Amino acid sequence: MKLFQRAAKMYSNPFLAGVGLGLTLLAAFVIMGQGLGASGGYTSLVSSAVDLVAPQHAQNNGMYMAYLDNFGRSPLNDWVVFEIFGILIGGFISGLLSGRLKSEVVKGPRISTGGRLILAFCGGVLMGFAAKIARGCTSGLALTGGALLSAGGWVFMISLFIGAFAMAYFVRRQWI
Amino acid sequence: MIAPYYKYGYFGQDAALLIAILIGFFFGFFLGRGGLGNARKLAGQFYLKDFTVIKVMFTAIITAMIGLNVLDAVGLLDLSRVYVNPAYLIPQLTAGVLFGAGFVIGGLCPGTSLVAAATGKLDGLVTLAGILCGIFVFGELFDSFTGFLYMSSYGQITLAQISGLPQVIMVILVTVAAIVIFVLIAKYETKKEQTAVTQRLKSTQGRVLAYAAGVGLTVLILAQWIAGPDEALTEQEMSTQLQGMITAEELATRLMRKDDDFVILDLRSPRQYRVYHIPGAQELTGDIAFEDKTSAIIYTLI
Repeated sequence: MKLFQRAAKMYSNPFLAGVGLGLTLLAAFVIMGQGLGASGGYTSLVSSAVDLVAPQHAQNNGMYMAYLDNFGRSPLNDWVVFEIFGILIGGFISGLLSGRLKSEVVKGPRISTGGRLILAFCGGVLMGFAAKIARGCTSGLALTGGALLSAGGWVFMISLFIGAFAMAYFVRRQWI
Repeated sequence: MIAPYYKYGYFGQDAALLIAILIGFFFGFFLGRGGLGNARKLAGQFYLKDFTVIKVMFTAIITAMIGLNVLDAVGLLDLSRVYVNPAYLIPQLTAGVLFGAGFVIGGLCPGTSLVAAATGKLDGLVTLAGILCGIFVFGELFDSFTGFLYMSSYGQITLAQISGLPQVIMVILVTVAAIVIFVLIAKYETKKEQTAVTQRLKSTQGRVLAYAAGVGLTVLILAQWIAGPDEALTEQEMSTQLQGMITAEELATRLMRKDDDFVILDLRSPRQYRVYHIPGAQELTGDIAFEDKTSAIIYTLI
């Protein structure tokens, strides 16, 4: 632990991290023929959960069935589910190595912890819903599609920045 | 051996799932390393306070994009067999705006909230719960708005195909655009930093100067008091001590002339300052505005 703490610099140069991330994405393209993702894996998990609780209901629904059929009704056949499991481990190890493991709520000074968590949940709902409309999130559509020069990826990325800058003023108390 | 290896059948599904964990590992690792597991750093992008998001994301995009196209050009990879995200332009445009709003409200995105949660950030875990709920709500509504979801479908179309430009030109254009953005960011950051440093320097300089002068003056007067009025000072000594000092008369004249090239600093207690101070004098508490001033006049009670 001493060793880790001595080397602890919480974050690396963003350009260096960007190159690492880019090479990871390139490896996914080269090895698998597809990019990175996150929301797709969550959709697999949600679909399986619905199938587990109410199989009849899942069967009558176009989205759940699309995912369940694709992966033989098990999320354990979905590549992205394994990939997000990897994200969890990688995120943890990276935090461990640079002293970022800390139980806390990250927020600006002018909002209560409860307020921050409510907004975190609301933002999450909005993002989950929007990622399904777009067929991807920041990882699967903006980043992956961006590198592939996908028209859909770039449209999503640019409108994402517009939406975020437009909304920023209204939630500024949460961050600055 | 030509890439993508999985699509050419070099290994099966089990190996693919193992590779998924490995690739995910590096994905999560670099997201965390770059600072994208921190909601405040992410949200800071949209207040122009932190440019980590754009720097990491655009560097990753151009790295992977150039890599892909170089490998394709030298024949090590068949780019046509890499899955390109299909375009549904109007749904994606709408969803982008919604997602962006959700991003700045929640502070983390689906991938980064997982990294945040992995390092103990409760807000990451809650964002994640929200995302799962959002997907569930979408799933429940899915069959009722498929008309909108599938409109303006263009298939796996790329910017090169839409614009009619050759792929290599498009790659160069995107790379140049990213570099221009990086340069603009660097300029903006340097400018902001300089302003901050100057302000900090000014106020520190001002404070140090005022305190030093105040202490010097007090010591001088104290020394004179200890020495006692009986021990007459020679004219020579007197003039040395009075150098840099100002008489009440002179100060009054300068005040009446409305000179503004100096500041007056009150070294007495805040209470005494409140009761009375020389017009225009400032307390030595907060930041003192030293801009365009050539001298500071300091007074105190002995």
